[in-house]
Amino acid sequence: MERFDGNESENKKNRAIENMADVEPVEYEKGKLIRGGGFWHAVRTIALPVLLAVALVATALWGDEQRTLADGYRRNSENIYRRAFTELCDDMSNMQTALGKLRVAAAPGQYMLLLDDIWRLSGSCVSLMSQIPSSHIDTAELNSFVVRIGDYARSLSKKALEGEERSEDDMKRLEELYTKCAEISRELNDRLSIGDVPTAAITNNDYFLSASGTEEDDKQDEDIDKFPTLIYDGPFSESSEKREAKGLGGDMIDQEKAKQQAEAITGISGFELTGETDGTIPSWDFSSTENDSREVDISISKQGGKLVWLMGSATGTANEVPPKDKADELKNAALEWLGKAGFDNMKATYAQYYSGAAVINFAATKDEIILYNDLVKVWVDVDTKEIIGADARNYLFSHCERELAEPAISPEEAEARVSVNLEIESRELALIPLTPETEKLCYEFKGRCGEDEYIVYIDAQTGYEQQIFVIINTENGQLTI
Amino acid sequence: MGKTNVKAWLRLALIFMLCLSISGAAMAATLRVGSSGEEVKTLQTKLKRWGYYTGSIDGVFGSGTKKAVIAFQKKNGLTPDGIVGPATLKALGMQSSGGSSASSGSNTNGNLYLLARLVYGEARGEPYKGQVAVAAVVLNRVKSSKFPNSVSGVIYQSGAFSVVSDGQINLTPDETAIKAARDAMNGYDPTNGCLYYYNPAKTTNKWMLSKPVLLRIGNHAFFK
Repeated sequence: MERFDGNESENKKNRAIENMADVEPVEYEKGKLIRGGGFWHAVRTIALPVLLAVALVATALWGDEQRTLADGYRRNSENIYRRAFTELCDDMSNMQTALGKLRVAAAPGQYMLLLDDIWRLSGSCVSLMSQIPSSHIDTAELNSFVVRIGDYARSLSKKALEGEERSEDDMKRLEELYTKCAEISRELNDRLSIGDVPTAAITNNDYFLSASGTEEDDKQDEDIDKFPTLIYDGPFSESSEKREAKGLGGDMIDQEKAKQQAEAITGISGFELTGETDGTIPSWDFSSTENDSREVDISISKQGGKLVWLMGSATGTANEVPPKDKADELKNAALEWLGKAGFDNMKATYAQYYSGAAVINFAATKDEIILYNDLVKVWVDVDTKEIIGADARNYLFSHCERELAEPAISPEEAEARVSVNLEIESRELALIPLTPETEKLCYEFKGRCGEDEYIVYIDAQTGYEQQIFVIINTENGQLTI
Repeated sequence: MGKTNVKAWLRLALIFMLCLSISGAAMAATLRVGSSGEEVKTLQTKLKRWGYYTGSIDGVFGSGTKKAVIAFQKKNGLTPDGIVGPATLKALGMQSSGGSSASSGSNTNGNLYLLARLVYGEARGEPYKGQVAVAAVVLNRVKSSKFPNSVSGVIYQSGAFSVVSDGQINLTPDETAIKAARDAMNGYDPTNGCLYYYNPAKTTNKWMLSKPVLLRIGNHAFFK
């Protein structure tokens, strides 16, 4: 065997030398290859194939392991999707049941509990729907329906709590909701029973749309009524989402006029049009730069030429809350600017400090009453006290001449309605937003409970406790939740 | 074919395997006993904040740090080997590629940071106004009945944002993205209430393309 091996290798060696000759003549002449031939020969005949074979086996093993791993992950996510879908089916039918029961509930307590159930189930459905791998375009309509059922139930409980009887209209709507909910619930549960469950990213956009009886083409037309219309007052109601800007008014202005307005408000020249914005507040958008080349963007409404927003950047980067006197200086600079920009009778409420700027909230006032809806935020550079930004969209949406009724209860009566646990520190009259569309005149009480600061609002007409906020003091300033 | 040959095969195979495993380990930066530097400091800070580590933050990976790492790994279902590999780094929320150590604890507000990450992933090449606009679209969705009612619900909704599917959402955002997210949370909305946007050069979605565009900023077209 050894002999044979020897001969064989001798032959191979020669062949190797012949082959190598063209490539590496120098090496050949030096004879290095002949001496090292045994090693190279071993490499070529044994090691290389072995190496390749081992590599192949290793790759196969590795590949198999990867596949097992991927299978595991896929199963895992499929399980999560299935669980979410099954729970969604459960919650939809529970919601349908609760809506059905509402029609026959007579006792106020029972009625409230069922409404509460619907509100909870609606939230759960929305959360589950967002966990199912279906596109956001597909879920939008059903999501909207489910959110509004919850929102509507919530508004009915509020009405009931304030002692209002349920109306014929409400009963009719509940009946409609029950029918529609039953239809969707049945469809989803049918799909569940045949295993038509979305477990991988859906590429077509009509899984839920078809389940709720809306066809793909229909959603082009937003006004098509596939779902019962709910007329009520809540944050997600149709009327709230389609509300119009009340604070515009005045004539339509052209681009040139808007540009002059932008220059007058900022004191910066050289604004160039960057585009137009369509929508609720149509506007002309411009851009320019400060002397030190910081960029400034501004948006001026086409109707009335009002400032919609101004967006620039500060010279510094400070994030801390400044000392009181410095904070007051910044506030006064902002107030002065607001007057120039056409916002009168404004009062500073809260402030935050970040990225070298103070962001101060200003609310309009009328006869000492704070109108929280008519809000303008102003960004002031903490170093230069220059105005670098503003956002007046809230103001433009809600500012109008209001007829405010005199409070029906006295400040003392209102104070008696505040919890004894709140150590009251100040009292004011304020018009607060309850939903995007409704405002209530309330007594505002600021105070403390233990370490925490709270604001409590008591309805100035009914004495009903409308809202409670907690003030959060952060390293950047105050926030209310 | 003698025994020697089989042995040689085995030896080669072993060497090959070793090479594979070594190269595999070398691909990701690992921290183990003896490691030191900024990354170890970050590691120690995190472990200390979460109560696994009680020693000093000296940037040297010693036995105390190893104990803390093992405790962390056990708690998080990782192999408790005391070596901080890619899986452990990920669980710790540390970028294994090194470089930027910007993930300091200054942004405690979870929603803000999540929003900033989305802005950075979706719009980091866009003008500042365009970055605020992307953040504003997310917040408009939170307020809309058609979408989930939380920032994370909207961002992680399946198929809603491509950067969530391809993992770019996990990049560390820069200051600009954080500021844009913050400005949007404070009310700035350059989109005038838009709920959707797309890049006209990239999208093939017929439904999106059929919608009337309300405005354009940089590479994005916005609509309701």
